[in-house]
Amino acid sequence: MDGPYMDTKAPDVEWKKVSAELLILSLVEARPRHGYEISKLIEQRSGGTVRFHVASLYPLLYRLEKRGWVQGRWVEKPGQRRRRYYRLTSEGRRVLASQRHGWRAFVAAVNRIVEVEHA
Amino acid sequence: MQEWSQEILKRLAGLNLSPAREAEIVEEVAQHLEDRYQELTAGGATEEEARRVALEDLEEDLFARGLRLVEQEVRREPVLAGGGGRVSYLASIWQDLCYGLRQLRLNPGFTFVAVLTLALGIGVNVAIFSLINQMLLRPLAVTHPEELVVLNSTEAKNGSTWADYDIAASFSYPMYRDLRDKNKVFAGLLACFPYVDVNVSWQGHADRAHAELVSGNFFQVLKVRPALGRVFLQEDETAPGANPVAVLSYGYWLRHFGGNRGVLNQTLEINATALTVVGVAPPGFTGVQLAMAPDLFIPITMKAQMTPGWNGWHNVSDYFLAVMGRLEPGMSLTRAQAGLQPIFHGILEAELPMMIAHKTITSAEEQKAVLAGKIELTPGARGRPVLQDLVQPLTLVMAMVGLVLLIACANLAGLLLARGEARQHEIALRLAMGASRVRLIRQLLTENLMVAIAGGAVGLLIGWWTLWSILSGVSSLSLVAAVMSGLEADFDARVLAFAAAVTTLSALFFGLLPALKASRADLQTSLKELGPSSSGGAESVRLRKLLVVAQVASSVMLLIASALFGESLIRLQRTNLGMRIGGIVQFSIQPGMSHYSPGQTVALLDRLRQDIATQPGVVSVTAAEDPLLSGVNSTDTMKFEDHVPVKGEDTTVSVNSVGPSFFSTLGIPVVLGREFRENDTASSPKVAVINNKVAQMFFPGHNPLGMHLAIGWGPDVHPNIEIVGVVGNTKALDPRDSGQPIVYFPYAQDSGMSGATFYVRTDTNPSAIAGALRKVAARDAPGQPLYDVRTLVQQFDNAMSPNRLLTFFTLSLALLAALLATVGLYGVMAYSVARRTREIAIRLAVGARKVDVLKQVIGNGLRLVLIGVAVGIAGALALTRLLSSLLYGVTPTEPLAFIGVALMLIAVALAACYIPARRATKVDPVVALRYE
Repeated sequence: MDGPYMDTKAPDVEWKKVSAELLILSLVEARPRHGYEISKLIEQRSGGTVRFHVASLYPLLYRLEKRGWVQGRWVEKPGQRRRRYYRLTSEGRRVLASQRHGWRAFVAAVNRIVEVEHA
Repeated sequence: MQEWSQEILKRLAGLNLSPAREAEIVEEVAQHLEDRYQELTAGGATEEEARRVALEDLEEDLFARGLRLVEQEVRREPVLAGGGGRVSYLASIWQDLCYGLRQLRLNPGFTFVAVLTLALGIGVNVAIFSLINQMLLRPLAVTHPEELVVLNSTEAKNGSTWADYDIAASFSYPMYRDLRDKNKVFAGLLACFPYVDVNVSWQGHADRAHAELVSGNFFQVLKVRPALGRVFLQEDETAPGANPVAVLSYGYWLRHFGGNRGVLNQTLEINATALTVVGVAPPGFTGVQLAMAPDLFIPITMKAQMTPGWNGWHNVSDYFLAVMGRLEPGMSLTRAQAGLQPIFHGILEAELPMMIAHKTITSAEEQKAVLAGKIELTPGARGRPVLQDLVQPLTLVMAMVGLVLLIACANLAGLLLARGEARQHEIALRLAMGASRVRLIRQLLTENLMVAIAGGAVGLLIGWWTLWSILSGVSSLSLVAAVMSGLEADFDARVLAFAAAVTTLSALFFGLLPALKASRADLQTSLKELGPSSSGGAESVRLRKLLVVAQVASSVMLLIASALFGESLIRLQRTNLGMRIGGIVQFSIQPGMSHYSPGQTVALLDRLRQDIATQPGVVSVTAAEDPLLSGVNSTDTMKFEDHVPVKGEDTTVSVNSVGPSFFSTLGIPVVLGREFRENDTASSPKVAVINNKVAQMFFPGHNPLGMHLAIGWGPDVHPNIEIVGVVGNTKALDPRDSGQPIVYFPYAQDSGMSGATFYVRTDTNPSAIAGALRKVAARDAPGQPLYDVRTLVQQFDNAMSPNRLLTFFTLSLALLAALLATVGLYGVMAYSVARRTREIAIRLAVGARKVDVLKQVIGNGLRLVLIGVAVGIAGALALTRLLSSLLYGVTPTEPLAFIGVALMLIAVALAACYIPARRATKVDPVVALRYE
């Protein structure tokens, strides 16, 4: 996967998309989580700065699933309605690693520029 | 939950997701909204607020757009013109088609069974319809066939008459000629005699062909143009023997001359007369009789040459011509008939003196009966109605196969009912999404129509094959072969239209009710339970059970009938014919057609016999006037010495003129006296050989050797032919027959010999010797075609072909019905298992053994089958009496057939029940009870 943030056509959209993908993949890395849990975690851990609407969260989850990066599975727990849990696939793990690397490089690059300006 | 679902569904509308996928998304997102709502209310928000906030999250446009991007990137759903808003009609049909195709692909088992069921049902219907079409329905292949009429006349016809279906349709040539010249109602009046078998020889190759004698204006009246050369003109009908020309039919030209244009103006030896080929008729034109296809057309003036020994064409009392007319434009049938009557009456009055002179009329009463004659016209667009007698039996067969298709459709309806039940959730969702019922019904009907079209296409193939099989069976019957020579395993536009209509009707018939029922899906229950509803459907199950019983019963009846036919066939094949047919080759020859006199014919037969006898591998050789096992049977009324007939006793027996060594060659035992020898000649004392049956009937208790008999009756006839031998009874006339009385004469003493069939017994491979026989015949009888060259065993098989055809056809129908019944049974069982999944699950959960469930489900199915079998056997017992005339050596109540059929059906039914029963035992209680 090329770094989509290098895409010049719609840098803004792609940038956001990749970071959103990165967030979700990171959140399901440790253990499977369901959609609501993912959205709550994003909101909590970003201190309310980042919020995913239902309208964008689920299409994104489905796309990741289509690409085979996460796998959804219905799980029933006693006394609850069944929920769909998403876990990271091995393919997803590779993508996550590469995106993390890309992200860090990107942030580092941006930081260098920003800090030079401020210096 | 439910209000979330509806909000979400609203946003999914127009995405055209698969129902299953849609349901998944709805469930997952609804859960999310519910979680958010709970969290908000727990945090102190009012219910109203919490609801509003949760829904705000579900930004309508964003959600749908996002989903569309994701869901369609792999799925490639048809993109509708106009998006989710106004959907164009065409696009929605396209959508229905794609959706239907996917549904069918997703259920290959259902699709296969449905298509096959329909294909079989449609196939037999198409085949039978094509037969009926070719025999009775389609118009003649001529311009404006509706202007044609068939002439009939009702006067008493004394003298020589020849008719193929009604004596009223036969006219003398003088009558035809006068009607043609004097009438003012016809644009043209044609005549023909369609049954002339001729010997055709060309470039040293001789063959038999089927000719039609026609009037000079035949083609002009029919407005038929030649494909090559010219057709006949009025000038081709001048004087007896003066028009030696011929027009070939297109098919004959292709088959026998390879479509060679060089045949034009060539001379063919036809019945030893040189005829010049002047043209080739257009493709598709086969004369004026449906189902019959003459090989060539010859002017009526050549009758003497074409039918040696019968030349009554100038005789007012020789009725043999079929007459048809083309009405003047604007002339109605009734006006034409009225206009023709005075002319007809005038001609009759003029002919009367000739009839009296010929002594065909001897009394005033007969005169009156002639003059009372009326002319009657009947529509002739479909040609001469020769096969009208077949209307009833063919209608019956059509009704039978129609019933099979109905059963097939009913069966499919059952399958679809079950499937509709299974798809209720999908349908409920679609309704919830705002799909209209009409739209849904259309969607379901589209799916059904696709099944039907596939079934129709495969059905055409099956129909072609069925028709081909029927025709190969029919063509081996020499007696019907001539009248039906034009039948082809070929579908014309009318048959294709029939197939299309049947297919569409089937789709409506089997699809509409299930679609209506399925589209009434109950949203509330369905969405709550997400499973097949346990309520309702009981009525349709009852209906379907009844249907299965009826199907089993009717297949039992058909199976029993076919088992009886099959057993008859086997017994017939094994029947003792009273002779040994193995190791014999036969061929026929008709020198009389090439103007050999009876004396010359006998001499030729003798020469052939002697030359064949010297061929290597030939054990013995003989000949007979009437071929054996061919259905040909000559009879004569006889007077037997010292036998006084009681009043009403029929002394008519079968006769055959045979050569020396006839009985030894064919292995017919000589019981008393001797068989014919070489010295039984035309000049030696007249002798005869009788069979046991004749001896028993007319010489009971005494030795018939040395007694006499004579052909004829009355006081003037004196028995003068000496009986020199008595032979065993044979079934040579008809294998079904128990042994006819037969009197044999030496052919040398038959003053009317015109041809014979040879029987050659060999000790080598019988089929290998045919070549040698042809060589001998080509040398001894140049230009004489040999026909019916085959082994006697093959001839016997031909004689069996009506029985084989009957057996084959009923067996096919029976197996088809049984197959349908099995499918129906399987459908009902699978359906009822699906409906009772929860019940079965509960029983399994509380400790029922799987084997008990298995037993119960199979038991339910078996009960239906047993009822069906019982009804079927009762029906068969009642109906088989009608079959007795078609059976041989078996009683209609043959227990073996009944028991065999019953056991077979029960075995098949058990298998059909086993699959759903096994599925029932595999029910996982946890899954089945999830929604309780």
